[in-house]
Amino acid sequence: MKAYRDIATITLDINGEERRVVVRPADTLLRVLREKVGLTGAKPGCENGDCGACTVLLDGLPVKSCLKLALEAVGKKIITIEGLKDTAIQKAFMEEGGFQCGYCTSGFLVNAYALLEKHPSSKSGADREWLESNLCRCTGYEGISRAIDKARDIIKEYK
Amino acid sequence: MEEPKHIGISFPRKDGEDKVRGILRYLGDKQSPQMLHAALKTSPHAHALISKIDTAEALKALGVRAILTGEDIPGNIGIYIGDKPPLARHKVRHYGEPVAAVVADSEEEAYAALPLIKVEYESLPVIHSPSEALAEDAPLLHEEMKTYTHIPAVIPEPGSNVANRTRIRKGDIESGFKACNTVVEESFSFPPGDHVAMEPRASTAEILDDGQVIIHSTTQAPFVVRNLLSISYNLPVGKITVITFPLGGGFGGKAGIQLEALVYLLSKAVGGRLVRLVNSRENDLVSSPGRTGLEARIRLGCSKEGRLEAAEINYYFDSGAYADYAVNISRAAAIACTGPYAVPNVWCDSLCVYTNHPFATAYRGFGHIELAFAMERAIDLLAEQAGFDLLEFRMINAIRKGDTSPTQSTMDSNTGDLKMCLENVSEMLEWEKGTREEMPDGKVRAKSVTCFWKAPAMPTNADGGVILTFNEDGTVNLHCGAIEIGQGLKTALAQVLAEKLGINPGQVHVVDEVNTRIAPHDWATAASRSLFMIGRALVEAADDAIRQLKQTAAIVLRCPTEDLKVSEGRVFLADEPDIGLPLADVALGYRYPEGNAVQGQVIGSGRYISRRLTEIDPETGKGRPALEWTMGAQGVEVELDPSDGSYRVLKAVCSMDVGKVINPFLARSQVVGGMSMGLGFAGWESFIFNKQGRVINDTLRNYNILRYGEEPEYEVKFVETPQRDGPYGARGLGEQGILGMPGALAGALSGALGRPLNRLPLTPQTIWETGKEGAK
Amino acid sequence: MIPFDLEYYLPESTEEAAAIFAELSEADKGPLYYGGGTEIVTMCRQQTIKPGALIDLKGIPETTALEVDGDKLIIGANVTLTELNEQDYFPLLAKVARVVADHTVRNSLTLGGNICGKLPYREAILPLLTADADVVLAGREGRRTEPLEDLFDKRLKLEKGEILVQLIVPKEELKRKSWARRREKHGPVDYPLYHMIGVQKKDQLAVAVSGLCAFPFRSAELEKKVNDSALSAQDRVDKAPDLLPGTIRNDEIGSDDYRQALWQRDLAELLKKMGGAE
Ligand SMILES: Cc1cc2nc3c(=O)[nH]c(=O)nc-3n(C[C@@H](O)[C@@H](O)[C@H](O)COP(=O)(O)OP(=O)(O)OC[C@H]3O[C@@H](n4cnc5c(N)ncnc54)[C@H](O)[C@@H]3O)c2cc1C
Ligand code: FES
Ligand code: FES
Repeated sequence: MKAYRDIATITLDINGEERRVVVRPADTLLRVLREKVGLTGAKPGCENGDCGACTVLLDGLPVKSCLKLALEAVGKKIITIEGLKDTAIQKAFMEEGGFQCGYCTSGFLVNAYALLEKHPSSKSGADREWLESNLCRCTGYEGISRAIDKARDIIKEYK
Repeated sequence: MEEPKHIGISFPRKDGEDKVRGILRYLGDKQSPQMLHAALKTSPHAHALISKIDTAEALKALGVRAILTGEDIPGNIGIYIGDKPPLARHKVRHYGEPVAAVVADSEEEAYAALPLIKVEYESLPVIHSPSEALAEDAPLLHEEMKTYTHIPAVIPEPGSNVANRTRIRKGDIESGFKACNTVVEESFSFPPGDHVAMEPRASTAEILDDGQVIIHSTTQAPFVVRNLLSISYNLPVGKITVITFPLGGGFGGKAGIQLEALVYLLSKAVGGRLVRLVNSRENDLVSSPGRTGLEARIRLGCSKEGRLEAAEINYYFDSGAYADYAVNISRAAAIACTGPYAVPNVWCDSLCVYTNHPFATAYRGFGHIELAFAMERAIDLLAEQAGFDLLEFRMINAIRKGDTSPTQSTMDSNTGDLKMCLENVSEMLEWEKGTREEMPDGKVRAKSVTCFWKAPAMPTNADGGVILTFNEDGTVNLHCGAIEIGQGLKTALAQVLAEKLGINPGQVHVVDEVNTRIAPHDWATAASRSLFMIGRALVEAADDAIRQLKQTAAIVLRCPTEDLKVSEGRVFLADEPDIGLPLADVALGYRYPEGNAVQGQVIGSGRYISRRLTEIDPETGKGRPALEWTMGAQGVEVELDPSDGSYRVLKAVCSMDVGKVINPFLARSQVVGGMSMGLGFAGWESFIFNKQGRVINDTLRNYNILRYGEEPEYEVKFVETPQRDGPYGARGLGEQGILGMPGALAGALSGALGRPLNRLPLTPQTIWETGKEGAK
Repeated sequence: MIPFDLEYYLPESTEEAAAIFAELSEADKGPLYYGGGTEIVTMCRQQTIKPGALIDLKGIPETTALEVDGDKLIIGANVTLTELNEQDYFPLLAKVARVVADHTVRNSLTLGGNICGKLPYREAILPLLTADADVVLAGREGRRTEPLEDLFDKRLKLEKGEILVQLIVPKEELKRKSWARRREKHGPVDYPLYHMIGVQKKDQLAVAVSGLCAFPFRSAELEKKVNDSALSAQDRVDKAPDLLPGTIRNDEIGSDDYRQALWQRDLAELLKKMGGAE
């Protein structure tokens, strides 16, 4: 049985890099990413599981990192927005106006990226099911949903 | 004139790349080991005396450096009225009001100490609404009102709960109503709520040994913060520096002063060390200011021909426990009280009233969303009763050049084309195909139309400035005091500058950070005035830079400056374009081959101050308080299931006269963002209070905002009647998209239900209940 | 962010988990079993609970199993709702799991956490109630398997330190004809006004409801009335509110009148769609 009774050193696999970090067992993954690793792309919008600004991928699945203990991520592959480079969805967000202030953007992009990995081709009910986990106050979602469609086009072209 | 190259073009956002890569840093992203962290202990009561606060145990907790309570810090702060202690003193006036603040080595330790602070309360009777606050025997929220400092334009009424009253007296209301064929009188209302910017508010403060105060804050108004800190704490204004990074949304919620004062006091309590205070979402919703609620009563009449003759309007703004910006919101609503209609006889009293709700500050629309909801509902009721089509009735009464506003100032030749906007809405909604249709499955579809207008509500001397500096490669740096808040302002400014200098917007570097020590003075990034005012200053700065560029070039090219032209990154002879120099050669002074240099660098500067604005007369409201009016029309189509009150917004449309569209893509997304916020405002967003006045939806779990997939189909059409004193003819458009939506949603749902819905939010349950009452 | 300190354990068997739970309780650490954490982490942040230790059950293979064993479906208690949503052994459970919280949260949120949580909804239990599932529990004293029905009265009655290990559903219950409706105040991510399912069993129509009262329930009295063929469908619907095991909730999500009116309409629709017993 693994036991963490106090501050401990753990290794996290973040965006393909092994990172040794010192954590309290109570530390959430969001806080560790932001405060111990310096990856501030995932944002705190509520730290209550409601807004999705803190979304990261754990073994490919989007999770709200404010509700995860950093210890739960040991042995899993963590992908944050900083780990996404030049993806179709990032390009599409730029072209279609998927953001204004940008505060929700990391969370939306990470979630949408995973959505497109799972449902690359057809527009389906999954879009809403997945993306209603994230809140955006600025855009009214029009640009975001257009960007999802656009990203699908880009992915198709690429193939 | 040449066709503009960069105006009216959807140039990609300057901050786009950083935002999609997640590397743009907001204030909360910047932490350093020497920081101390603060947390707030807040009130569970809406109105109560604080009989005892015991901090002894909390002070002993690990990492705690200091704890402040209201008793420790004398004095009040406030934008217009000094009515708010940074921490509650003697009594609490709203749920969520901070009563103590802890400073500790880490945020965790600060929060862990909160439960150790023991506060005893004695509850007081709670005021739940403006009408309760105005009742004869209402308890007073601010017994000491008499002693409060306030600006002259705002006049609190001691011995009552009225924080301000604005009067509009235009024409003769009695004879106006006599001339009417149809008159309606009705009440409208909605409770207060919050902005819910996705980035919670945050501030840090540090006091250096030489007395300098450094504040970092998520503020839309760094200069206002600096000024108020100086006044409230008797600090030389030059010793205060306020620094702001791009914001994660604001919508007015970051326009006042709140956390900044508190965090300054906290820093002071720990010997000036750097202290950071970041709102939890709960604090952001109820401890920091939200938006006003409203109770309105309107009597409105029209002639047989459908012309509005008289409007008697009472607005009671629910400012919550403190006045903050609400006193000016109620004033702005009076100035624009009728909406964009020509009404010859107007009587309006607009009151800002204290209640035991969380306090309110500026909110997108600033009084105009509130008044638009009440007025548009009243117009619908009147038009229906008088037997007019809702769109036609608005056409008849749409304000135009030569009409007078409620403050009796004449609408000038810059007045937007509201009729054209109405025509566009009619077309987008296919109005002529009918406005109500019962579907085979029992659902009902209905359409609505509303009008809106808004002018910036700001000091008569609101200003802005721009400084341009150049780099070795001839590219330009643009400094100004306005904040990038998501609106794309800095991209639009880059386009204006590129147009002026004949370069590519990519060659303009905008400075994102605003530092009050470096940036030229700027009133505030609010009131949708930034593009207009900073744009004007920018045009002047560009002209200044061009003049200097030409001066240097004239020396080198040995020609009169008048013969030179700046374009395509060069300065050259207009009639012999081959003879010229690249900007890079002259921007930092010209260096001759043998080494001599002349002229030095180009520093362009420009400024703008509001033109010919006046205060309004306290008895009649007469005056010219509005710089430029942006107006337009909106509408929605809904599908209602009357059996359970559930509904869907199928389509939302907006046509707005913005003078000139600088960047169509950004303009549309601003408007659509506003529309979506307006739908939420009307449909489901507001605080829910229990009998004790406690907010029971103080998390995003139960404070609903629009979600992905709920958005309707949006359609936006711009009309361009130039604002001739605006940059390239443009006027403000950042807030306006929200304004008509509440009235539009209520109008369409009322039409579908066949019963008027005059209260927000329009939850399925309230619609169902209204329908049931109607059936009785 | 959890402001206070706590310990974290990742046992690999129920025995280990129960033993460390007992040890930590003895030491006054106030331990909690930890599933998806979606409730625990938020409550810790708000400091409404302050466990001194968390015992994460996700390292125990049994609690994350999801498989058919002979004539039974075995569902590990800490299978996530997303996994339940994506399985097709038990379509009604997939359907119900799909509407709790939101998709991203469901990637973490577990069945056991939902059933054992503090909120009044605990919607994922509904299909298990109508399916006459058994529960497998493990504690210091060993393990026991009991009918869910006997152990569930407003909440799952666990002994202190007991772990919900698995839920076992008889195969014949998996693919029954069913009907479900969740109603919310505003949108799908909200807590429910109520969530009702109806399942056509051999001898009767089984009904379970969450959100209507302060706890989820399947009530024998209500089912008796709903299945009373001597009464017209309308009569059954009219009488139904009197047979609820508790008062109808009246809160910020919806008034009791509104809940009742919608629920009765939905009950009528349920009866119409499902007829009655098979
Ligand atoms: C955005 C959001 C939306 C939500 N919406 C809903 C909703 O619509 N409906 C709803 O019902 N809930 C909702 N919830 C609440 C949700 O957190 C809980 O209901 C959830 O079920 C908890 O599951 P978990 O696995 O995360 O449990 P945890 O937080 O890990 O644990 C919850 C409780 O269960 C206990 N526990 C967990 N596993 C076991 C086990 N195997 N044996 C014994 N005890 C155990 C824990 O000790 C704890 O007391 C929502 C939560 C969020 C964040
Ligand atoms: S910060 Fe994690 S969901 Fe809001
Ligand atoms: S872009 Fe501002 S919250 Fe989404």
